[in-house]
Amino acid sequence: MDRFDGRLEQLFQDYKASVMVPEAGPNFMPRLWIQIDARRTFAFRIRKATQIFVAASAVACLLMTGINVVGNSTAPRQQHATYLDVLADAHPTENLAALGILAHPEGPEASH
Amino acid sequence: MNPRLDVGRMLVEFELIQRAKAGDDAAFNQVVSAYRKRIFGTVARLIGRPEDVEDVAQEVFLRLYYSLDQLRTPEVFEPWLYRLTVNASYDYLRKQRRRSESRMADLSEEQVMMADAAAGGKNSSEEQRRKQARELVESLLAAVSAEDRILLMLKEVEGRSIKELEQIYGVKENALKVRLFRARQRVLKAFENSQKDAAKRQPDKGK
Repeated sequence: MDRFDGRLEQLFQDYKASVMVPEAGPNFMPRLWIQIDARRTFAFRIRKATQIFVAASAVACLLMTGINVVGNSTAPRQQHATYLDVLADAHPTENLAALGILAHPEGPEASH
Repeated sequence: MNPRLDVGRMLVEFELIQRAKAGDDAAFNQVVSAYRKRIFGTVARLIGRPEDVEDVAQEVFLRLYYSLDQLRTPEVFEPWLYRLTVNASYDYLRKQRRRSESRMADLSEEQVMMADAAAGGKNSSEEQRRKQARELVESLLAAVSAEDRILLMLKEVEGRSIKELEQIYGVKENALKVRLFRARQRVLKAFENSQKDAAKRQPDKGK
């Protein structure tokens, strides 16, 4: 194996010496700039589209928040009230008194 | 020329790179002009196909242009440029391998023939010997993956030290050594086999 090791080393050196390194053609730089510009334009479009999307999302988000806030402030009392308040509203004292569950607020004579 | 001598000596001032980074196209042109020859050489040795060197080198500089803003310190510029070169060469080789997969089955026979030619080429010219060596190395490197091929090339042909490879790959020294050792053993085994086969074929020729 050692014998082959040395020969492989030599082979790599021969390879290095044998590889032809071409010179850059006259169009190397112009072609490079064409590629750079093409990618720059594409990247620019993507960035622009992303910006529009982010802005649209922010506007939609603000709109939804606004609707939510306005909706809540104008909502009927039941939406904010506790269970007891809702119950009291549904069953006014007069009704309960009429059913004999509560004493009549204006005294027992008042009902007659 | 030993490429080791080039390492550590930047071909341009960092200030020029900073200007290119800031969007100065003329400065970028200067950086490309300074490194073009070196990158062409490295790419040529890594991929072994002179006709495609320009395309791969162009891809390297394109990636350089779009990643310049990530560069922070001058010390890392060259290893980083080499990493871009390695990556672009690796992408190229991977595409090539995918294309030529169907032809891979014939390689062992081809390998034997090339080794045969190399062994019997004592009287041929120096150029002929080098050409055969190049073809033999190309066929031997088919025994390893595209990643290992590049790693071996950087170490054995480009002459990069383990420390430099560590910087280029961003991998620990020990992991690199193990990988290099395994790749080299595989190539060595393929070389040994091809030489033995060639030796077997030599007496047949004489008959």
